[in-house]
Amino acid sequence: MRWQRGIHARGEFDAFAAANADSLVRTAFLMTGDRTEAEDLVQECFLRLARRWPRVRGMEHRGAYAQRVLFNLILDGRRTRARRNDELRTVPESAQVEQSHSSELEKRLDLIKALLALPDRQRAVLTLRYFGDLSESEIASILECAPGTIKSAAARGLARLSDVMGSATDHSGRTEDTTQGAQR
Amino acid sequence: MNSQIEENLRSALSSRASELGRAPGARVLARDYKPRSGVPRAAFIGGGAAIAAGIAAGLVISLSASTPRAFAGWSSSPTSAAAGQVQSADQTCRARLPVSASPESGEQAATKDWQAVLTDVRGPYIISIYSASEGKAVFSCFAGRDLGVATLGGVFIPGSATSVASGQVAIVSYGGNATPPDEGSARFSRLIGRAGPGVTMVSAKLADGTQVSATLSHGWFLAWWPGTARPVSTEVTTLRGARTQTIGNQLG
Repeated sequence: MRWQRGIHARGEFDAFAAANADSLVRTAFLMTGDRTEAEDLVQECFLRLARRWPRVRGMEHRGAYAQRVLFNLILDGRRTRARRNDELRTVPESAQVEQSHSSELEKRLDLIKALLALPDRQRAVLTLRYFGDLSESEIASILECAPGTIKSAAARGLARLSDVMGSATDHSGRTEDTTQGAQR
Repeated sequence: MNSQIEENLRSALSSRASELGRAPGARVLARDYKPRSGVPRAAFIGGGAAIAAGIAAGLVISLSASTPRAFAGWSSSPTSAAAGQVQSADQTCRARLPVSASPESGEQAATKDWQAVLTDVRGPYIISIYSASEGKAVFSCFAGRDLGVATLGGVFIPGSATSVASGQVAIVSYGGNATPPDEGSARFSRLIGRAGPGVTMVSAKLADGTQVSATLSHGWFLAWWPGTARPVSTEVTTLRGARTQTIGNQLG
């Protein structure tokens, strides 16, 4: 790739990549449940951004644009096929070790599993909303859809998680009070 | 109902993301990969590698010369727990938590009333934060290789628990403590604070240049390190970017 403005443009991109790599990898990790997959996605995201850099560098919200490119990669499904079989067994190492001992860790693990089992778009909305604390309009911009769509996807996703977690609680025999107390 | 699942989801996502450590993008920036789409890899790898090297250098624990032997195995980023490590430390710590959660009101707090809101693991060392009286009483508990021995450090926060704005952090406590005698009674420092919604990572920069990644859980963060170096700033990361916050007078 030829940098139109030479070393200066390249330096700008380097700085942009360094500033955004961490948050992009974390987001991709939460979406895929797999660190290596997340790194691959971010890598490809950076390649696309580099190719478009002459246009991207002038954008006011370049970070948000990077998130959009990343979520396009995740949601287009090309990279998620292999993940599907693995996602439910990919759990935090510490949780794997401790889950039989700690109801809190166990519940957190159940919630992450339930999140990973949601449809991609619902998972994307909930991740951006509750990990990134982004507004509906910010999420709509990243996912390129209407704010109303975000609202309904969030509601459906939360309802599904509530159902799953409610079932898990009932199944384990824990009472509602005990569950809430462990999460305070 | 939704508010409970929302709160649980925030906590679970934050905790899950913190497993990646302080600079999860460093490997991407440093990786020597072959592009699959024919896009020249020179895009950012050249300078990116240099930047990544700088990031990686920041990750390298620079305490090797000054870290007491008692802290062998300590890491500047949280690590995963070994089997039974958290449970054993929790049992030991709970046995030492006070029954009075508030010296002002004399309010009693049975062991079960102390909620473990955060557990930070760095190699063989665990520090857990316990909270009672709606966040007004906070105790940290350190356990080392002998999980049957622990030291406590407490703080009582007058008034209501602080509500922290989105993307912000507030320091609750900074102080020093010593490890149990079997760990050499070595001094260590810890920084405890609250993190608002959207905070995805917190790290503390010390006066000696060391960067210590915090554990983030349930809206609390904790970073600790061997010795007595003072923290000079925090780096707070959200999806909107990273921001450095000078600590200044907050430590008292």
